[in-house]
Amino acid sequence: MSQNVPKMMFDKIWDAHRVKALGDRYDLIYIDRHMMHELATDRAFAQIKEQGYPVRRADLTVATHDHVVSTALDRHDQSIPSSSKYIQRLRDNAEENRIKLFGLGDREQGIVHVVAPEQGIALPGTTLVCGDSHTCTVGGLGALSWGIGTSEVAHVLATQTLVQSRPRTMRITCNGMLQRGVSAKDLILHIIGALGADAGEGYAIEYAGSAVRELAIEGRLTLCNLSIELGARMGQVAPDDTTYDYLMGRPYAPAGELWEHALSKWQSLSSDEGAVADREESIDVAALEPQITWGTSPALVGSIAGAVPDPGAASDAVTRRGMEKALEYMGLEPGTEFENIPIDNVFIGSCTNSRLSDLHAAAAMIGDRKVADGVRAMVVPGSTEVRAQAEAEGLHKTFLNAGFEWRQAGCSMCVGINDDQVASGKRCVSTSNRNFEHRQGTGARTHLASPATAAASALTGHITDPRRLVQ
Amino acid sequence: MSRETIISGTAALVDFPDIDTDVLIPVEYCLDLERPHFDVALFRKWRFHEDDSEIEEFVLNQSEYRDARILVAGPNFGCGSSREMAVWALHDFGIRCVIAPSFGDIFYNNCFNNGLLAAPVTDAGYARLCELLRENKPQVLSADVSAKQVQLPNGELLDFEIDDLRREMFVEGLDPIAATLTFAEDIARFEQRQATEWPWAQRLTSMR
Repeated sequence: MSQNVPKMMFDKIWDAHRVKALGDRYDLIYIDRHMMHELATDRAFAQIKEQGYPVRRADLTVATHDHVVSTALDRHDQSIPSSSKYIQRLRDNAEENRIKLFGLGDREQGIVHVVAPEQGIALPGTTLVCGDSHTCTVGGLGALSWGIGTSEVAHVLATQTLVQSRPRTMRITCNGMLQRGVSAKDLILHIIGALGADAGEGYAIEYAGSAVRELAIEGRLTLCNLSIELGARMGQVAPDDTTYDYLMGRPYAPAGELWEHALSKWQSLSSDEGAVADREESIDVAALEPQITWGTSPALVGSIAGAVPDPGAASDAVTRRGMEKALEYMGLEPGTEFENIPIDNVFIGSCTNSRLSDLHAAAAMIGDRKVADGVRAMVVPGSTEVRAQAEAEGLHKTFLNAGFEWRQAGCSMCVGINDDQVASGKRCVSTSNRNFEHRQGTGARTHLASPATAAASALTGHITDPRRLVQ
Repeated sequence: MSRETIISGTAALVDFPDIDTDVLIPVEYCLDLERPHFDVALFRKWRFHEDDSEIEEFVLNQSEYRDARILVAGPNFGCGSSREMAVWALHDFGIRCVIAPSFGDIFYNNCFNNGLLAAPVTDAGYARLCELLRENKPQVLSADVSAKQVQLPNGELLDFEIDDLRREMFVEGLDPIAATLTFAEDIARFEQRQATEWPWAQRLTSMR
């Protein structure tokens, strides 16, 4: 009988990974892929060692250096003395446990959520976890992926499973077509602003509709990346021919007979006709404009043609209190037009927007123009592979000629734990995912935006609608 | 190891929405500290000036709240990063229960993996607690995990949600890995089946 009940994509993948039902919405879920980086893993390895548990499936585990690494051109393991031991410890833990490591100096090295799709490790229908909240990124390929804490990292290392409460499903259908100059980043920022930063709590999200179908894989990865900023651990786009074209031939993707086998499974993953999510939302994207955040939560966002809102107009007291605190931190007055806000830094990078197509969008905006006086602008490719591809195309010359720094791959100015930071009181237009207080450095003020908006703002020295500068 | 099932203590109010894990512990404190010394990092930028002197107005710096065991905060508490150090910072400070209208999902899981009770109350319940705690004198609250209720000093009760399995794990203080490994045979059987039905998911090797 259950065959005839239409299922959401999420339910198909979840049910296919249930090792055991534990009652009360809880299941023991099998993990197909475990990605690691140097920040969340150290104590997990120490824990299982102390408790005497071996790593169950080192062969399904991959580590990379990204969070604490330097992005300097001449970097090495000791470039940042305060964090060099964490680079070494990941090397030691990987070697001791026979885990594959994409380390500093390797062509495969890069931000964990950039590397996983690029190498063909994240696949449609697989479960993938990592001790990082932006693991939802690779849901853009149709993987069921989510971020976990250190205790859960230890649990996966020891058992290759997690005890999880089954999330409810939410489908966000994006109808219409994005205008020129409007990207996946603008779309997801708008969704977060419209639904709220906690709308996704307890949900696994599926992004659907014509605007999502039209996105290339890198755009889908950007879209899913900010699911956690919507409150959801998991966000997905159903796989389609765009997905299969992207994955075919990637180093760790299945090949030959296994590819054919996988493809047949992937083609049945989409939500069934007639399946209904626990919560359905729809958004018309045709009139969507480039977005810019003005506060310290990604939900505090508006169209770039607008102005800083007045907390006095907030719908309730809790929201007003949050807005007031955000404006105080950001040093902004209600009514100030976004495009009149001067900036000090531009950061193009992070697991949100550091892939080749993001660099294309930024470079196209720049052309042969220069970064405005007084602005420090940098481009940090998401992986060493992206960097190499960009250089093969000559994109780095556009950035360097304009006055951008062209750096090595890593999390860089998104996480504020390597040498790349925004100085106190300075204002940064950033393609990353979090505008939290002090996120990019103590006292740093962050405005989240798309690569095109970030590049346009670098050229003018204030927040700028990229459509103004189209050449 | 059984845990206390009724958590009583002074409650501190930090009544902002969207308190993220970067606020709970800045990333630079995530690397070198050891348990149980993460307390110095809790709310670091809200508790301390850049010269490390205390910001007097912040609630946890006021003498009546230094031994707070319960924190009451706005919706979406613990949103953002998966850093479990946010929970360690709360726990090492002495907080054993956080009451809020909603929590970030990853943070919520991390709490229970460290014996910290995250108690979601209704918006009305949160408004009631704000009203009580804004009177600015210390109040003792009591969260009963078994009854799924928070008791106010006047005896008033507010319900909070917690799943049965989570409550059992919390009360019993079970080691999650040991509990899962009682299903080791199920895991092995699953892997055998997966090797046939999804063989490409059970393999991860480079073609190059």
